[in-house]
Amino acid sequence: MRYWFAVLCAVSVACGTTLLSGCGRPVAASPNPQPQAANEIRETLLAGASEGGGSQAAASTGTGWGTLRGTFKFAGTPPTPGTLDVTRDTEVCSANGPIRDNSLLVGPDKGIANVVVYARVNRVHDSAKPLEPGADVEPLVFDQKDCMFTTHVMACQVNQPIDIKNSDPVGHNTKIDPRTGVPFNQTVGAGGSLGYKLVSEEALPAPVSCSIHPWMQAYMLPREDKYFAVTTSDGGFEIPNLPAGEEIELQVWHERGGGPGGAVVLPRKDLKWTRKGRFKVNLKQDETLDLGELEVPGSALK
Amino acid sequence: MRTILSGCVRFTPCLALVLLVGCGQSDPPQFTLDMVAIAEKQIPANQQQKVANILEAMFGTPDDPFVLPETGLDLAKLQMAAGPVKSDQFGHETGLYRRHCAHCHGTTGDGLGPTAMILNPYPRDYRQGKFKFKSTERPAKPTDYDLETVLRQGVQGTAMPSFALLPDAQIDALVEYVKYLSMRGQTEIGLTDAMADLSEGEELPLTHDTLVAEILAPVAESWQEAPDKIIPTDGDNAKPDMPKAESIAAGEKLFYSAKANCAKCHGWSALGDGQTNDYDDWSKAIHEAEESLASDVNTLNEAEMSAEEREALARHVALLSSALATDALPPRHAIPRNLRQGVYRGGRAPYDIYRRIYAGINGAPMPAVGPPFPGAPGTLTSDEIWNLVDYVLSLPYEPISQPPRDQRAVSRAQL
Repeated sequence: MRYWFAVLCAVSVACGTTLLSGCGRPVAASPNPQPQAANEIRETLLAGASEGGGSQAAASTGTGWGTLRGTFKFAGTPPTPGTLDVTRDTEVCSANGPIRDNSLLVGPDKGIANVVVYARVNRVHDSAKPLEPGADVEPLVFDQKDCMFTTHVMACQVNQPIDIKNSDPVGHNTKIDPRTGVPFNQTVGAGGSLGYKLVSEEALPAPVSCSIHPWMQAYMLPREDKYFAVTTSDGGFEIPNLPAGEEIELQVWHERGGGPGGAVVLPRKDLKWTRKGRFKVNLKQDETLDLGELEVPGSALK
Repeated sequence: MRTILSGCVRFTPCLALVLLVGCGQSDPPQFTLDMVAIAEKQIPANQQQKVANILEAMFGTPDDPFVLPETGLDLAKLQMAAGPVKSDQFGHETGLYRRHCAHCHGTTGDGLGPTAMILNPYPRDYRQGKFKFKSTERPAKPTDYDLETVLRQGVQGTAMPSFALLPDAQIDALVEYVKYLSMRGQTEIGLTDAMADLSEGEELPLTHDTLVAEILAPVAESWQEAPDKIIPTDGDNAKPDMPKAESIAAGEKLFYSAKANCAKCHGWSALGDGQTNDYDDWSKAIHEAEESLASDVNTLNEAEMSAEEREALARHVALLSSALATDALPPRHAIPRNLRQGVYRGGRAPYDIYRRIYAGINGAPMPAVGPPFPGAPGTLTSDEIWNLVDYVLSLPYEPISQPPRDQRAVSRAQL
């Protein structure tokens, strides 16, 4: 009796589970809202803004400033970059030879270029303060030459004027798609230029493309503060004047990063590296912390 | 024991029956989340549940809509458009969205209604807050009048019909409901982005400051400020006093120039056969998700990684592929308009064409040539845009068989 009871229950449970969850493979199913939880949230929202307003930023606990540096290196044998499929305006675009695929640039000593490292902090040094709208600063040049963007990955501050140029004898259109900011898609005539500004901070770099020449690809990351760096051809980066004496979090991104949105996920438990491509450091006052070589395995990149 | 056993014996067939046959009456429809975006952003199940709850708190359900005062939306209009299709003894109809729109645009306004797959172009997915045919600056929202025009006139050359026979009050209610679905969709994007941005162990505060002031209000404001973003077609932007033939000739020259670049996409014969392998923003997102999935599958098959990493990646691959199978339409290339057919989706009036060239088409590869921001210099002057308008409107009347004129005798090979 006991035996049959067990069999029946097992069958009924198995049958129910299979029907409810399929055959073991996880399935993306939109969750049904929970009315009671929704009602509670609605009541909070109807009560309006809380006293004293906005910022929930955690209070800063440290003092002083420090510098962080490191070098991203490809672990193993890097793939040989291919060339892009140039299908338009070949007399101009291919004039200086085939266009190389710039999505993963590994130098002779295996340094990875165009990795973006940016900090999420509660305290900002004077030299890294946000730019006011209309700040009088020299525009950054974002040029197009030989049907490529000359800057493949650009990090800049919000409100930084950008001069979008076209140094080619053919027309381009520059399409910038920030997630929260204002999208932009303008024709830039041969030899022409246009002024542009990114007006709000992005959590991840925004793609830049050209509809006329679909192989053209670049990225722009606008940040409020100046705590960002893009690795150079040797894979190195340095961010000065970071808040010291407290734990700060840094985001690491690469165009081919395997994590969500291009996050670079490294197996570095010592740096509390997360699946969102973030790690934590605690700088001492006036310290220059060198993380040394940060090895990026092939599986961390797409 | 016997009681438990008999309970179990009776319960098993009942459970199986219920699971197989359902309960006779279908559940009320629910708004669904964009599972492709959620899979891509790798939002865990508990956070997905939270997003669904917050959205229900802010927007209610398809049968029982709700709006916060910050949206500026009119609940009475929404109630007329929402819910099941019904009319009372006085002939007042409700459920207008489900009656007229949902079969293409979907209950959630995600453009995933049952007929969507067989339509070309696909029905608009409102959730990104991007609308193509409007009178406002490129990134701005459409005005109520713009949406009303689309409803009354339909979109020529597409499956979107005219609803001109509906009473004014019903048109108003549907315009309000489209704005509601779009605000809900854009708020969902804001919420999942905010979830993706959280640090380990951090929770999204369920407060007015975070949910309304930071996420919902900017979306609502962009709708409220649309009337201030209309591109004028008078004053400085008025059509220049220029003989038509002269204006057409100037427009033709620009059309094929490296300054305006029209021919690059619309083709050297303006048949829409130039650049034909780009995507609009909606298809591009799916195309990129598919590419990312293919690359993850490749990594899974070829790269070396720890068992833990392998399991996480396999799970991500399964979720993303299941989302793409159920929550997305196959991406299609954006084909530039054939300008010789005289079919203009966003309206055929000269000022419609002027605004299309000035601001481009939001969400589509078609770029703007007017000022990127009001007051800034654009790629073309207003007069030059009007020349292009005259040329474009002359194209359907110019026989294609006529030998090409010297200035555009460019071989296809050069494209």
